[in-house]
Amino acid sequence: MKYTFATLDQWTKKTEKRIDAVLKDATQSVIAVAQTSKGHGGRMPVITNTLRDSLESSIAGGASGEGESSHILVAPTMKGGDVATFTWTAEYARRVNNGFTGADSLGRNYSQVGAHFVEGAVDQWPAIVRASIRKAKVAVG
Amino acid sequence: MSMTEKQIAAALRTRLEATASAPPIVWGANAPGVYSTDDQQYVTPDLPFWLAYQVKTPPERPGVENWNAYVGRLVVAVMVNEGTFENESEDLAQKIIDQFPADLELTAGDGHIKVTAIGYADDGAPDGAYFRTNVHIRYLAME
Repeated sequence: MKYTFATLDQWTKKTEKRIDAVLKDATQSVIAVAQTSKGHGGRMPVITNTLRDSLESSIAGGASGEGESSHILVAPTMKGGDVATFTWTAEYARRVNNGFTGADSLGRNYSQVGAHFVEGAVDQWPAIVRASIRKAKVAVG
Repeated sequence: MSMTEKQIAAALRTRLEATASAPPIVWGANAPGVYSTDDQQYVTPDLPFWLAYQVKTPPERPGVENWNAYVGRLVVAVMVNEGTFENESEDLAQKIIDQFPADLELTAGDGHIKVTAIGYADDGAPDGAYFRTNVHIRYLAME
């Protein structure tokens, strides 16, 4: 479609729609990458699913949710300019992500480097956004 | 043209090991102790020491040519004794950040590694008998 000054409003609305589509899809995807278990090519160690299920997703002043799939419910409600927060609240989340050497409260000894499931997903952000743009072009036009 | 993950690791490791007054460096996520280039033996290091490893992402093929771009980060965990306050770990973290300035280029095989941003350190935290501060160096490697 060719846009003119007369149809500038249409162009703006379409652009906003596309930006929102990219934002929603990319946000959902980056958390999905962080939540992917080592057994499925990701970085998160999953044994009992406690860590993965401890995800809390929220948008400042908006929707929030808890649980493994909470990002799937929260991300699609985002709009450009929103601030979303995703937190893993399991007590050992920090130790698993950043690494830990020593005994835990049960006396079990660990010496492990960080799994870095957060950083591993964040580093894929540019690639994720590129993929979301491609999807948005197809979906929104 | 070729560049392997092993060559990327070797280039990062060589640069890290060249840091002036560096403490012992444990390299790799699967190392039980420090790797000594002289005798190639693994021993348990005394504190302070650095535990260095990579966090990788799947390689991307940005063009039509048969070459890849690798986005990743070198993570160096600065391990010091608990109770030494934060000066020691902060100084050691800054040494690593200074050793990998933004835009630094290293050669790996037929490719190059570029440090894409100024490195940063996480907040340190008690870690068993240690105090651990992770330093992150982000890079892009291209053939």
